[in-house]
Amino acid sequence: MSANPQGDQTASAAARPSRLSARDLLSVAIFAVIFLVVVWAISMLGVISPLVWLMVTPLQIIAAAIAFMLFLTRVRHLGVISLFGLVIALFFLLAGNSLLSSAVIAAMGVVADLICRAGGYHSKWASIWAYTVFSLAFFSPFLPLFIDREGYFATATWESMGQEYIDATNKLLTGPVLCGLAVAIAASGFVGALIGSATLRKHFVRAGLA
Amino acid sequence: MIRLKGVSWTYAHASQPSLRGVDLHIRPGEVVALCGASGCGKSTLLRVMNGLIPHFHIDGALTGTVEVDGLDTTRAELDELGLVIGAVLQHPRRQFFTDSVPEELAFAMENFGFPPAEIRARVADLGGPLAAVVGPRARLRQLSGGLQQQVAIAAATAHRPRVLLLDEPSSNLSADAVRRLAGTVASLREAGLTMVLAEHRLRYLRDLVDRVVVLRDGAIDVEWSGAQFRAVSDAALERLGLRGEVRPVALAPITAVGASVDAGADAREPAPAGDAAFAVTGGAASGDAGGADLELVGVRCRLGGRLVLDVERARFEAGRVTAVRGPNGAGKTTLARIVAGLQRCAGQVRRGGRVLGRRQRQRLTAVVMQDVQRQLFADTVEGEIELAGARGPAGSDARSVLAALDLLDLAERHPLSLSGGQQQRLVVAAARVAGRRIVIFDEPSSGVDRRHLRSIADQIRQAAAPANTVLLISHDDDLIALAADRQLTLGPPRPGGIGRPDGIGRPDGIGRQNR
Amino acid sequence: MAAPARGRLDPRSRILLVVIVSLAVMSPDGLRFVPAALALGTALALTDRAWRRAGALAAAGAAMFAGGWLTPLWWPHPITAVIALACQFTIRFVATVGVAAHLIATTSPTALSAGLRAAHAPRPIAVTLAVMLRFFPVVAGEAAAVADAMRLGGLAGAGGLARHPIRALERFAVPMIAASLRASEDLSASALVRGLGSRRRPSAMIPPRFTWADPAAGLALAALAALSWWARPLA
Repeated sequence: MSANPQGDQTASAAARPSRLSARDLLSVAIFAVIFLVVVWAISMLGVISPLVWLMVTPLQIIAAAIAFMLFLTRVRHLGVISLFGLVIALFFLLAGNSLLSSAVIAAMGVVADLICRAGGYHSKWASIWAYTVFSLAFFSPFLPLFIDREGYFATATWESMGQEYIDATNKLLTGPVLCGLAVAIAASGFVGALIGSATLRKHFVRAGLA
Repeated sequence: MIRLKGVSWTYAHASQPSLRGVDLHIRPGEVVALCGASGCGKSTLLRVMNGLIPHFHIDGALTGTVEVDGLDTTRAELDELGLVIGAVLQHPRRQFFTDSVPEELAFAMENFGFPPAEIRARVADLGGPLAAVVGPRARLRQLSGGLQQQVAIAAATAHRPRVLLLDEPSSNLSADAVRRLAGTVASLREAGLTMVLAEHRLRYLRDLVDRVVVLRDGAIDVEWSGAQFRAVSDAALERLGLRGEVRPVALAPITAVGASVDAGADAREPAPAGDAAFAVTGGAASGDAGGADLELVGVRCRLGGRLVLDVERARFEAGRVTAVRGPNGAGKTTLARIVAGLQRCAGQVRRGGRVLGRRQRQRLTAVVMQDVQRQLFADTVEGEIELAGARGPAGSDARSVLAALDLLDLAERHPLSLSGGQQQRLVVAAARVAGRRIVIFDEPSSGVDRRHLRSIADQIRQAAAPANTVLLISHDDDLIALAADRQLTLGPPRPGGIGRPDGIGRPDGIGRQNR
Repeated sequence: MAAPARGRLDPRSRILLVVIVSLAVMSPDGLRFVPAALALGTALALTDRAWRRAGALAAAGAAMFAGGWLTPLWWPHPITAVIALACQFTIRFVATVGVAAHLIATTSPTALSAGLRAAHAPRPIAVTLAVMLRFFPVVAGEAAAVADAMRLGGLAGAGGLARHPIRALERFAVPMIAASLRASEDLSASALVRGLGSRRRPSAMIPPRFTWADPAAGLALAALAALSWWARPLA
């Protein structure tokens, strides 16, 4: 993806310490913003036309994959992807995710970082698996259901919908169904990563941006 | 102060080196202008001097040694270099980190850990004269290009670096603002700062430079001392792709009335109103070309509760290029968005007497945006043209249009890999294939070097086919002189004196997040 | 020019306020805190003299309350029930956004960074969050411009999205990312040259300092929380 400089005086190699450089921080910031804006812009699509609402989450996962895969081409050492996961988690926290969900997003960032490290930070398949794991961030809003089921349904929102509806939902969102949902999200993440990786080759590599 | 020995640099994705074997020694207090045609390596050389190569642009191969004030730029950290070297990049608007003058001036000093009291004193010192002009609460993005440039220079020198690098500081400035820039450069020179300027326009530096270095294909071509440079003729400069003096231009104004129309600027030569005048001008084109004139009637637009555009009547002739001028915040972009059907407003937009709805205008209009990347969707140049044909009334085939615009060689390339000028040409070609009747150019010369000014002007002229209306939004006097026939000068609308004075925005609110 | 605005909260307090309100309102039993959060957001807007924000927030809160609680009483029907559910969900966001708007409107990227540093946030996080605050309007602007370009080119519309979702995504995401990267490049270069992220210890032109306004806001917050707990409005 990025040609390694060959000259004898190349400082690039010297300027690649393992700690986070200012350049890394800027790159995390811009890609985190792109990630959040893409996710937000697509959720707006769902608001506008309810027909496409069901498609929105997979679309978010796939579009975010394009940004994430391009981000990974600029990562060269441990910590950068973890920081990315952490700031995304912080913004999701402010946007109404539970503390638990946000902690899980941050943890997914660390796992993705380790996967990429195992791949030496320039492996296509490591990147694809890293995103598949990170895409579980989109599942995190459902996590409280596992932990505090009673509390989840005891809110005014649910109560106002009547006991029948709660019972129906409670039956529907059983453990196996939730696991299925998680698998579906991870599958979208995997497909998204493949599409993102293809988009890299089709556009960004040829445009000199990756 | 700056010493380069045998410096070569090749970007990872380039086939040619951008710099080859540059040897240059710049002494303390010297003012050096770097010039040469586009792509000659001026900007790259500045990036090498301030360490952005190889610390920020890390993909590529650098050979040779670069030393600034005794620091080896490849070994030193970027912040060590930043303490010694201040840099002003090409577009002041794009490099501001904050939105107010004092914060922007303090930015570097805060990062370098200056004591708060010292920062405040220095900001008061530097910001005082600026605050007197713009007011202490002014928002940076609402300032004129000239004032933004002054803030950018002050922000780059606030922490008292010993070297200042400026990348084409005069591009996008009006003739008046270039004069003020010359004054700023003179006082910094007085203060003993070592300065390196990459420039296309050179005359304003006539009495300020100690040396002029002309680059060609990444190597030093010619070097003049200040005295030698002053003796070089304009014709000789032109042969090297360099520009002389900038002169203000004034064109005949179009027929327009309204609170947004700057009557002071356009009243000198009132254009004849009525259809009789257009029969004459339209005659040059064809019988019905006059019937394709674009008219705004009672157009008023409010954004965030503030009146930003108020045009009672305006008429843009078909087959001509109308320059839309005026300071930042005068509503030029809003006008363009209304014409293109992207912005709701009160009033009517008519073409040939027929009222056009917003959707109709969207289908009739092409906008060549300031950053053309935003409107390139396909993965090849040819695909981009086909995409445009698929959504338009087709007709002309892709390859002949590409050939006409000299893009045929690039047909297989990725649009994002083209140069800024080529991307613009591609967007113009797509607009032509789609059969758009209204073409709006938004600051087309801002990202493009001066040498291509004439080819941009030619494209704008070509877009003005007899039944087409072309609007050119620009601050660039050179481009307006080359490309436009008429002008409309806008000013901030002041209905009954309620409007705010220029340069002062809403002091607070969610709206400050907007661009 | 260099004096902090009188009566304004310390940036640390502003951040803390958003975090507390967000956690409280978004918690499973958070609806009871919504009226208090709305009142807080409106009061903050009034102290900022941001009359439009105050008005918009109060109006949005009132509309959500009307849709979520009053309409179903007045006309019990499946349609109003669905609307009510949506409003009861959205009102939490309105309440959080109201308080977050105060942070965004009054805190510049450098002030946020200084506040986070004063709160002993690690350097990478403080710098990244401050830079993100600066990049948000840039990237949002690029996204809006790409959407405009798609509308002009006839590429927008739900039809295209439904038929070729991946192609539609690609046409939005690729130019948006390319334009955002380009727009961020100058900004990043200029910030790096001016020492952003430097390993030196940064300082602040106006160091964050707690004033009488901060404990006052804390007391008000505690009072509102206690009142909400005891009165259980909306629950």
